[in-house]
Amino acid sequence: MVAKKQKTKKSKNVEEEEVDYAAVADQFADLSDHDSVEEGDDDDDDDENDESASGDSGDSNDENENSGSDDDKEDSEDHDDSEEHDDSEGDEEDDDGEEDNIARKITTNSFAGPEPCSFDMHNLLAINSHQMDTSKMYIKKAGKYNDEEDITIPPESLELAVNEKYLLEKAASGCTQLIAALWQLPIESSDVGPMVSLPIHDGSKIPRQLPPPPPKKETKWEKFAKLRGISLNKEKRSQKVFDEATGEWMYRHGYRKANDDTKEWPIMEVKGNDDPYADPWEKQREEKRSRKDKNMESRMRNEERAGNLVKGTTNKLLKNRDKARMAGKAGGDLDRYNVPPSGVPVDLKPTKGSGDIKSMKRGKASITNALLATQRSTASLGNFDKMLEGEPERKKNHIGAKKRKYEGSTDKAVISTEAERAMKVFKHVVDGGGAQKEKARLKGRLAKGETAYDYEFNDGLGPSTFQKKKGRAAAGKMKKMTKKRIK
Amino acid sequence: MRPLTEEETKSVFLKLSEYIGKNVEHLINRSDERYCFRLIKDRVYYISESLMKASTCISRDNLLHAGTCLGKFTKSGKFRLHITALDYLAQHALYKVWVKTSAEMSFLYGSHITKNGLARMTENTPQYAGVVVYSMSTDTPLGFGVAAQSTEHSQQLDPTGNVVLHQADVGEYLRGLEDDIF
Repeated sequence: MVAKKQKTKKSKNVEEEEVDYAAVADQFADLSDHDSVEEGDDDDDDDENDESASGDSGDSNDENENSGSDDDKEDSEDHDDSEEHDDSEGDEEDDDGEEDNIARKITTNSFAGPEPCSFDMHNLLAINSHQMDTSKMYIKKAGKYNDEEDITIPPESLELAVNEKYLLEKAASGCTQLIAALWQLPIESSDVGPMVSLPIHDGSKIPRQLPPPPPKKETKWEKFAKLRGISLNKEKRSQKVFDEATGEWMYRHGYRKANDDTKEWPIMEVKGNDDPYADPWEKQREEKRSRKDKNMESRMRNEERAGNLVKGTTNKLLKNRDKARMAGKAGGDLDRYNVPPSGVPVDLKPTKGSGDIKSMKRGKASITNALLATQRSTASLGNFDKMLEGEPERKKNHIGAKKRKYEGSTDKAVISTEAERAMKVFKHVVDGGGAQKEKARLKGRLAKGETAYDYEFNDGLGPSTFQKKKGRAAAGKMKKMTKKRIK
Repeated sequence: MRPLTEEETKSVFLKLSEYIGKNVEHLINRSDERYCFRLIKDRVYYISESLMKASTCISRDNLLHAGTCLGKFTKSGKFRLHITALDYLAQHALYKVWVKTSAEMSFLYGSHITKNGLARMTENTPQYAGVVVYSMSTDTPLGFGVAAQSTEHSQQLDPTGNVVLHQADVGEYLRGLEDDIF
């Protein structure tokens, strides 16, 4: 913060004004009845209030018009700060471009006082760019350095207190002016009272943080067109086109574009030279694919030329793309030709050295596992299913599958509850029909449920057709070889 | 040594109840001392609690048996009763069969009991019920088996027909039929 000795237009013997707040309030009351404020009305009052600054009021209008453009943007809350900034440009009459002041069309009003502010109404900012009078800002106390007239930057050792009253007056003045400026905006009446719309554009201009983007490099076609004097379609074509089907304006290119013919229609005409036996949909798809590829390729090459892409990526991509496509096709064939036929078990997986899947054998273990699983794979877990000839008995679920909690032999908890648990299990056993029922369940004799599926269907797999032994062994009598028979 | 799981307890009780029915309760809740079922390498043992606690001092590798072996669990998860359980079965048997002195020896050699060798049988024995075989002369338990026919049907059988199917007999102690029974 640099303080300069500025010769202000105001005289040094300025007495502190006390703004008559009551009068101000009255003036505001008057304003509310009018649609717009007429500046001329309040001049008389102002002259009465203003003692010393009468000479300034004429100049103040011009001043503030021009000084606004040079000001820094500050928070409207920090009126104190704005007043402490010593703006040297505040007093110069700079005629900056009028267009900068569009947002600041609000001129100072009758409440300006000795220091009229400039406004940024978009941010509700009143900028007081007048020089601070440091002599007034600090209250001098009796002390060493207090004989000096001008106190610039007061060192900590100096016993100076900030004159709060002075600062408050500045703030009050700024506030008043801001609110008066609000009234100068175009007022609409609404159901809650007079309403004002703040300007859309920001009044303060901020410099760029980052450098602007570099200009785009020309593509190959643009270069050629420029050279030959061909006009690009960019300038000729509009972004939107009227779509016949939906009857609205849609974008010319891209997703859901207007007049999209590339959809697959159920019926496609055979035109002129086309082969009537060719697949038109496949052809359409191929054409689209090739267009896409070409477009991508040319875009990539343009990027390479512009330097956005590493040189050589396009060529690499093209080389790999064809390779990848062929590999993809082959991979798809793998699935088609080397898949086990339906009905072949899942645990029979073709590995590299296993040979043709059709000739692979399943093995006894795999079959028994599958049978076990199948037996209990019904809603009733196999309880009410008809037992087939030769079917082994139905075991319960794999007992070892459940993870058990460790119970030490001598745990107190175990010993104390053992008898109870045993009793519970025993009751369960006895009430549940005992061993007889268990046997019957295993043998499938309980499979007499009354479900919708229970009807006598002769599938030809009765006991008469059942063969325990197959092949050559079946040629003999179907008798089970027991120990007795061996003897 | 570990206590039995629910599933295992269930299969043991199922098997036992075939022979002693509801008297299994007497095994579980005893008046004199608390007895428990423990598993040592797939074999089910019926031990008193004090003995069980004492046997925990012996390491698992070295511990062979503790208490009375009731039977063992086969690889497929089924429970098989051994002759060593005869003591308790005989105490609480539901259905009993007395075998004639002449047919005693054949039973002790492992064959089934035919009608010829049958002396007495408890009434209302259902078919395939677990049955304890006693000697007629000394009234000592000889083994146990499964009733091939119910009591009524066995009366109608011809003399060579099987009445009791052999499961286990005391002769096995001498014969050592199963290698891993002891």
